[in-house]
Amino acid sequence: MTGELVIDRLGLRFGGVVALREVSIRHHPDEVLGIIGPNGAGKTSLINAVTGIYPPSSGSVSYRGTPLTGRSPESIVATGIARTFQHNQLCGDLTVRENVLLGCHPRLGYGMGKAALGFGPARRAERRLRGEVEPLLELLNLGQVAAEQAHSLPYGLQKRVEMARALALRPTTLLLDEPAAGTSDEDRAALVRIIKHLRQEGACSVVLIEHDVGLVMEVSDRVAVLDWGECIMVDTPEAVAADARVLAAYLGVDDTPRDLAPSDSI
Amino acid sequence: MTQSIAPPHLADPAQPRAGVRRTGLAVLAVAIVVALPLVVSPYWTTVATNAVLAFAIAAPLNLLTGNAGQFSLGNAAFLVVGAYTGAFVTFTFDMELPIAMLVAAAAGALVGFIVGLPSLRLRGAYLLMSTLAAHYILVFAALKFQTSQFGAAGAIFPPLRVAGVDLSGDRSMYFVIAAFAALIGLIITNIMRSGHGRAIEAVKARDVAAAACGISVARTKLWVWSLSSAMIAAAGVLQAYYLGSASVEFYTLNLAITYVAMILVGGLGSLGGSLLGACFVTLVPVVVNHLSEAYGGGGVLAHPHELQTVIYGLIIIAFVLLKPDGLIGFVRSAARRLRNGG
Repeated sequence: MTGELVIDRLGLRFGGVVALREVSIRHHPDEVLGIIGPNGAGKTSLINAVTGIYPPSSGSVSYRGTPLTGRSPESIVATGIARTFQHNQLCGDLTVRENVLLGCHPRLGYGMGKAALGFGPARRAERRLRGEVEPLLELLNLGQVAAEQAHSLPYGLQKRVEMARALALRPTTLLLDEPAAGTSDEDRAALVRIIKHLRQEGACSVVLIEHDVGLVMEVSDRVAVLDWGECIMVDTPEAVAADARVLAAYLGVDDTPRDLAPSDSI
Repeated sequence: MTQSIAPPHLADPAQPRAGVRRTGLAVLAVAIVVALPLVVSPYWTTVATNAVLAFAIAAPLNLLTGNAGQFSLGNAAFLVVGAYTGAFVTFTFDMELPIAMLVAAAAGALVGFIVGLPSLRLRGAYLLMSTLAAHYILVFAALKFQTSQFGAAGAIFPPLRVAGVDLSGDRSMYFVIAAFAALIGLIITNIMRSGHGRAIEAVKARDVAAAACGISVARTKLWVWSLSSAMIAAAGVLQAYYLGSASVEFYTLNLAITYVAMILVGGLGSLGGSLLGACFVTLVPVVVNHLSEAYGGGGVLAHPHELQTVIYGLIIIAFVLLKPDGLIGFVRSAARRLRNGG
């Protein structure tokens, strides 16, 4: 099936530390797949292995039938996979708009030589790209801060800029690494709205890594649970919420309040 | 919502008001540069020529170090690569300055590409060390080339003539160098305002995120290394014509550090900073000489050259510690105060 992200028996090892062990997940087109798991379960490692930041030790990843294993991060982006980062990876000195424009880089359409000339193709392309990012800035409610330097924004807004930058790549699959961590209720509501919007428009499929289990359950079609580098189950949110293994692995004893769940991982 | 330190129209070059202001400043700068040799004495024309030439070398270095985050001590070596390639083309094929500069730029791009290769694995002080090694290797190669091609004294350049026009006079030399410096400034401005400029900044600030935006970090770095070295090498031809000769003894590590001092003092990653730094560092020996004459040249003033080196060192330490954004930082905060109504 096209648009499918197939993670097949993926293993990732750092020296003696096993970050991922035989993880197999199929992410279907047009679905929102939540990935949950306690601290150090390997959620971010999984995204990093899929996007080429860490070369996997074993197993393979393919997207729309194209093998991704062993490819560079920038060539994986070209297949249609975009991502955000758990820890802010914005260019602080650039404005919000310039950060989002970075996501348009694969569509620049002019080389360094034309950039040096300044006028002509480069200027026209810049005008076109600036037009392209405006709807994204509006969608993510960033229009008013578009000209601010990214480092001057509050944390929740910075997370949204990251998402806008990833969407500017026009991905067919978007990987979100803890987009709600450390943000306000308002930011969380905006996040739910945006994910549902992407789902409805069929703009892209979403893989959502999040510690906020309530949020994951609210927007996901299916949920995968990682524990100690292994994928212990992939099922509907309802089935996952009711599963004893998940409760044991992730929630601990069944009366642990959600907000005591750890909020940070590797 | 937090308030940005910079007002929005300043932070975004696409805003029309900022565009008009920039154009105005550029016109003013050109007017000053053109009028300068007509109003000042020949002595100050020479000083201005030195400053403008220094800018043409410091600005590409600032592109590499300030914008792309690649620390380099290779600029003296790139100058000698340019000067000797230019000399070779000039003397062997009897070519004129523009051709010599183009060939030197190509040679500079190639050498810069190679010197830049370690930057794919190394950063910071380790990268600096690899460029230091490159400096000594290239200067040694230049010495061998000098001995075989030009003799022990180095290459002697004839008075500058282009298309039969004598350009060797102080004023015409100044205009030639200023035109070249303006071209360098324009190219760098255009690149930094383009999508490739954004990519360069992203590679410096967040290489992982840059790759996640489909930017090839390796290719971007090597582009900047090649481009920066090409411009420095082309400037090297002009510098050799201006000085009348090129000899390996001139291209020392001290010379390389002088340009690093300019960008640190002026402000990293800023074209205006390169200009301010170039003027400042060019004026240091002038001031030292004046002091030396005024106070009879006794004491430390009896060793003006050593004194300059000490002053450069102190200035670099002072700026890195106290004013990391350089002289341009003063200009920016003054402009901000003016705009906010004092």
